[in-house]
Amino acid sequence: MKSEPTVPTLGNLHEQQSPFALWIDGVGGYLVCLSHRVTLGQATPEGLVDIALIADVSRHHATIQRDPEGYFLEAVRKVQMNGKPIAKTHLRSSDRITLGKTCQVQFWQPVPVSTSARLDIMSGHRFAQPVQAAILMADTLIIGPQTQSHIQVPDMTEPLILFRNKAGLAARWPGEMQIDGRTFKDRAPLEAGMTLTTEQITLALERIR
Amino acid sequence: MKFTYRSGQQPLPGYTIKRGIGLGGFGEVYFAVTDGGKEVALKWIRSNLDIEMRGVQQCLNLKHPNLVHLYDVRTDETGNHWLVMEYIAGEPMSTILARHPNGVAPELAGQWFQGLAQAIHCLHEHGIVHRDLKPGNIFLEDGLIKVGDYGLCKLMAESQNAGMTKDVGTVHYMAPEISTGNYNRQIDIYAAGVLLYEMLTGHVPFEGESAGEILMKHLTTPPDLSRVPKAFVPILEKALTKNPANRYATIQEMAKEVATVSGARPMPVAPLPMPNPKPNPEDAYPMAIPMTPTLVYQQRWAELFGILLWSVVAAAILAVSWSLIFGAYSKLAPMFFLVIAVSWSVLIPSKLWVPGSDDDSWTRRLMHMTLGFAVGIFALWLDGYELPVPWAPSTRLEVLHPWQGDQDTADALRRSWMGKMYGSENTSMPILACYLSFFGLMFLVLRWWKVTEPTRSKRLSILSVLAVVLWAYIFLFLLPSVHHRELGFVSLVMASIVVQVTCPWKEKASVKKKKMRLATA
Repeated sequence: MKSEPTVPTLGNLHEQQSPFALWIDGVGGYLVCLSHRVTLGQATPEGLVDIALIADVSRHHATIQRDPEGYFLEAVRKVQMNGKPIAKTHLRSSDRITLGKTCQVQFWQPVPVSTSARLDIMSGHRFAQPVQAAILMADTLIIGPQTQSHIQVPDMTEPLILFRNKAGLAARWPGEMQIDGRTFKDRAPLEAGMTLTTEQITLALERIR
Repeated sequence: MKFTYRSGQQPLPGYTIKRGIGLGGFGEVYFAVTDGGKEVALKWIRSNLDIEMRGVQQCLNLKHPNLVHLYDVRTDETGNHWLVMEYIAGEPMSTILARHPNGVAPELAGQWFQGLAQAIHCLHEHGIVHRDLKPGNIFLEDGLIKVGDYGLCKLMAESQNAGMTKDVGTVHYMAPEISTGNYNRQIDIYAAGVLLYEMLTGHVPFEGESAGEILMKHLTTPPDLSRVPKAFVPILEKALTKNPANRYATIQEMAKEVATVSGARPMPVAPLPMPNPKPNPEDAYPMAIPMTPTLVYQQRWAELFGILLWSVVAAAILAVSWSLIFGAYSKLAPMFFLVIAVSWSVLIPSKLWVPGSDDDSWTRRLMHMTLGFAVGIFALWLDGYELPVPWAPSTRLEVLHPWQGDQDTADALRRSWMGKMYGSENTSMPILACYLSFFGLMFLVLRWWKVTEPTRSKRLSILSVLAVVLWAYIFLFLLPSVHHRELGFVSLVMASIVVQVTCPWKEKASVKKKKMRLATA
């Protein structure tokens, strides 16, 4: 804990904001976006948007912004929400967003006490990254057995919580955690590129270039 | 779940592991991305058996939209084998079924079944038995069924004599004949039946505490089809039959019936190019033919043996109660043996009969009649006559002439109510002809095998017993005297009861349902 810098530098602020892939053994892969503003659009070799979709959508099709009041969806190109064309709207859990003609994404906030949200593609399209869902991580990311988890893992007995602090990311788990050969108890600092193992779950955070 | 390899490692050059997917019976499965960006599933096969790898190689170039494609087999620096496969982004059927504990809609189950059947058909067409069909090996990706793990099955040719009875299939989906070590593609049809049952109800047909208990149920217990939608009952009945010869001959046949019942689109008649425009389903499996009849006979004999033993018990109970009620102790032994003779003459040909053409009723009647003649001769001998055989020099004339026995007992019997029923002496026919015609005709006029079928409507039908009573009464005049009439008449009626009581009978689920509805109405 003593190594945590109290004042974030510009460099690690940028690092803190960039998305990473979360690979969980036996569960799935997730794209975790940390920025309060994420762009959605077509997957291109340049990788212009935060959440790239392999679908018939524009290069920058929409933006989702997290404010203290909640999430807002802003259309850049044609966007419908729950079947109605919109320009800008407030998002609520289980809203369906249609980008272009066919690409449909569902917005979820499965945990009432957490601001973090999850986007699942419902139309059979895919993310550019081979992941199941995109997670818009605000304060916490709960991986646990209950339905009120951002990532549900029925085999677990206790939730593993990823959270953000001044230094960046950290994990909370009631027990021992191994991170890249070091053992931690209850809490551990975490950053992209590390692998965390507990007796119930193994997850890897991969930096996305 | 603990995996050996971590995210980011490259056990095979060019493939970067992202995460573990699952732990299978054959090894760990990982999700990996190639340097070029292709997503694949990597299966680490720990066993070094060449035989396993040969099975994989046989399947490596199969192409079917409902099969998980195999791309390559690679060996890493340490000598471990890796199977490079298509990555399926969807969920395994096991996860889907866990979410639907009471099964899915019949239409959906029917639709999924079509995909499953197409995949199995493709494997069978290529001479491959899957042997391990289970929800964990079946995936749903964008509504399309994908069957995996078939690479680790053996070739049908090998499976005939390999004698590898271990590790074949998960017990819940294991066909009964696997225990004999002698099986063919029919085990996949059985497993498909179990899967259809599970999709419809959310449960496997046989559940139990231990693998042994479940295996025993596969071998002996008929599945409880009362939970299944009514229309699917006959299909599952046929697919889950213990005897592989009575199941659907091909998965296509089953899929067609499922499609009719569920309203799903049936699978194309010939999805694969065939050299022969009208392929004989048997021809595609030359290996399957030699073993089937022997297996059938073994099972039939085993079933028959059990039935014959029970029929002895039933005959004893009936004969003893009859002699106690009517005080006919002296006739107990002949009655008992005659009932057994009649029952066995019905049971043995009925249970060993292999169905031929649609209407072989007269062949069967004539065969039963021949046995009826034999029973007649046996009854003759039981009644105290010497058999009219040419090598017995002391053949007595009574055989050819009416019986002249103990007149007092005969008179007593004649005066009783029974005597009135059994009528007066028949003195016009030789005794041998009397016996032959009575028993022969009794076996000819009735379709005895009908009451031995497991599909008969009731276990013990009073109507069929009454039919025996009626016909035996009509032919009663043929028997020479009151003595013989009583024995002949009663033994036939008893045998009719014995046969029905001892023959296995499957209760129809639909009948039960109707009754329940009436009860609740």
